[in-house]
Amino acid sequence: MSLKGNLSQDKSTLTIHIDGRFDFNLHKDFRELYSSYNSDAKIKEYIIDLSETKYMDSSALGMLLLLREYAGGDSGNIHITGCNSEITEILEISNFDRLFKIDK
Amino acid sequence: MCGIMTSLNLELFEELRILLNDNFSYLIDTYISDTTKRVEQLNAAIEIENWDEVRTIAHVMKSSSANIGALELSDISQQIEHDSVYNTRGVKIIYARLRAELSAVIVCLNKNR
Amino acid sequence: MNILIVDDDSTNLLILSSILKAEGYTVETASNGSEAVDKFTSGYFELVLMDVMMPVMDGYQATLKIKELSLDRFVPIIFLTAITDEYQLAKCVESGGDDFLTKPYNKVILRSKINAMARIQALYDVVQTQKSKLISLNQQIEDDLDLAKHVYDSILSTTKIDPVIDSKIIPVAGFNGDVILSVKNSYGGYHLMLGDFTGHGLAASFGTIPVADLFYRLTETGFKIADIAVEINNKLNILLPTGYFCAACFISLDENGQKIEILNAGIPDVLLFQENNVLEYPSVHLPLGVVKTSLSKLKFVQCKITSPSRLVVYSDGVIEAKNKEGIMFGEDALKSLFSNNIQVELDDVVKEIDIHRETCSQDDDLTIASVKLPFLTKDKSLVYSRSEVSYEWKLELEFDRDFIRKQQPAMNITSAIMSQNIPDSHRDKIFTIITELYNNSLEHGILGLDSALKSSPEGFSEYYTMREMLLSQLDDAKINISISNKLHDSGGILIIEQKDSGNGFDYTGLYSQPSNNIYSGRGIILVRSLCKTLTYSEKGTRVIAEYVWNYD
Repeated sequence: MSLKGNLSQDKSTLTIHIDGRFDFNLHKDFRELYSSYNSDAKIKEYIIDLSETKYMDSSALGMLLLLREYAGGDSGNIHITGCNSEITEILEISNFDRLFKIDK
Repeated sequence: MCGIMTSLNLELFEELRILLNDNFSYLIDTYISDTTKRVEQLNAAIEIENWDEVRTIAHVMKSSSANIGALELSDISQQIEHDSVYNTRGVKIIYARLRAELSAVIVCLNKNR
Repeated sequence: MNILIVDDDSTNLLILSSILKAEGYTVETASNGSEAVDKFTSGYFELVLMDVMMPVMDGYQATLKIKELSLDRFVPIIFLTAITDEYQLAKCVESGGDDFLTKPYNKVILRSKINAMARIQALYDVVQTQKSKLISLNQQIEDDLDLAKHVYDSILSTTKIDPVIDSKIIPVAGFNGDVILSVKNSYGGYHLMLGDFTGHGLAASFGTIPVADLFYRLTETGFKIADIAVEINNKLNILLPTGYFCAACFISLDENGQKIEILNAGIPDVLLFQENNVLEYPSVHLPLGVVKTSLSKLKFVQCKITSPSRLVVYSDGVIEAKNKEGIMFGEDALKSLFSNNIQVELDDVVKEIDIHRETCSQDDDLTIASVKLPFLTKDKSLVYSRSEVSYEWKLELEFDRDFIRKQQPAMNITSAIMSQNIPDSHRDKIFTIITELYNNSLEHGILGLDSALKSSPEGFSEYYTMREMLLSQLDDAKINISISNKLHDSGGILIIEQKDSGNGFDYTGLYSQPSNNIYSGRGIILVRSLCKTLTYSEKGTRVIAEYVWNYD
């Protein structure tokens, strides 16, 4: 289980990779990760890369919502990519497809 | 005390007396009767020139005499044991000495028992 | 001390026995060799004083017989004679005499000779005792080794080496410091590990047992290869003494044998042979057990297989096999074997190494494994053959305070359910249901946490901080879970019932729309949408969920 952040060259896009299980154990690391780029106010887009994510629980959904709020709520731009079918299903059940851009 | 002093080592003899205590007399009886018997056997063996027998008897007399303190007798026995192999002609002469020494030893033993 | 005196002259016997009795010894006498042997057979003597010339049987013969009768102990025999020639000396020694005593007897000499013999005897007894101790110790070690070998073999023979993975292990001794483990993982692919412990033989093989245990158990529980590598490394770091380690390689293969991940920690280059070239994956990590590690320090290399390939991993025993001149077999020779024939049999590779080594003996364990990639596609219908059809069962679990404080049971419960031949496509949903129901009971029912807290980023963090704190202070708690499987035509239905010892929570809102707090309550909504039914009762301390599954 690991978490990695990647800032694009123009510093406008932050990609977060989540490897393994995305659950409440990550709540602190996840928040610290995106807030550590705080000084860089230029970030316009967040990409959550779940291609190496095996599972996701409900607290992970909560963490995504917190990120959304941090990114500016409705005006925020968050992409969730690389979802496997199970994760896609979880996101759809929770109607997250209305709040985030979800790529399968 | 003994008339022929060289026949018996009195020091050894006295040690034996203390060591054997009540059995001392029995030891002397046994030695005298065994040795007397052996001298007769020795005589017979010399007559028929059975040198093996001569040697065996002389060997036993050598050790028992030494043990009881009759060192001269033991020496003569050893001489016979030796001559029975290497000089059979000398055996008869030494035999006479053996008889004489045994008589002296017996006298001495009886005196000191 | 019991002494036997043998002499044909009564005077001698009388004198000698008197001397010895005065010294405090127990004495018996015999007047010739034959009588001496008889007395020795029926009595117990620790020393024999033996005249040489005697009628019936002489001292030499009697000595031979007595020595024969006392092979298991040391009975000194002292000849009562003066050595007058070499011939006599030789005969005494030959028949087994240990010393000589000349007449007339001297008490002091006699005493010192007997004492000397007693000392030798005591020494002999010590040696005998040590010898029998050594024999029994040796036997015990052999028994222990047999037992260890049995345990070792039975653990490693559970090595579920799949036909797709080909391997050869040739240890130097019965115990192997090399280990090769491979097992199908819960994602349909394979985990493979090759380990080479410092040294070889029993000492080196100790570590293989916990490694094998962790490898299989964690794979079965659903751990990914990198997590397993971390766990094994950290376990060995604790277990192995300084200076001992395990060079290893971890490989994961996906279900098609097209995506591979490799971590080489201290073994020779892992080789991937393709049609016209060979890729090398050198060691990028310290051997296992040297230092503690974490996931971020493990550099797994990923690789996609696009054409027929052969993956080869091996211990250094393979390329370091030496011939008489000390020349090693070498990586180049190994490479050319596979380059010339990508299908070469491992048996033939081992033969080549033997040919190279000639008469030189093997001095390190030798292990090689290979996989042909990608896997040939299997007919999907074969996957669920008749023997793999599920049946009806019920599983009941009770978790007490100590467990609840430290463990998360969802992964293990899911594995248990999945092991009952429920198609893999249901794994994640079942895992989600178990996790959410359990966390809900724990957080709200038992710990009494209010999810309203999670409405702000700070509250969200506080919620989980409190969760941790409350858990560590947890006094008394119990969660019971029972899961039963009922079959229907095309699959079955899992009935998951959970009861906790907490105070319950207000679940009424869950049946209406999601609450106005958008950060919480999602778990139960998720479960409700995955399940056919979800029913809370008894103030929220009891819940029953029904999940329908089908064969693919």
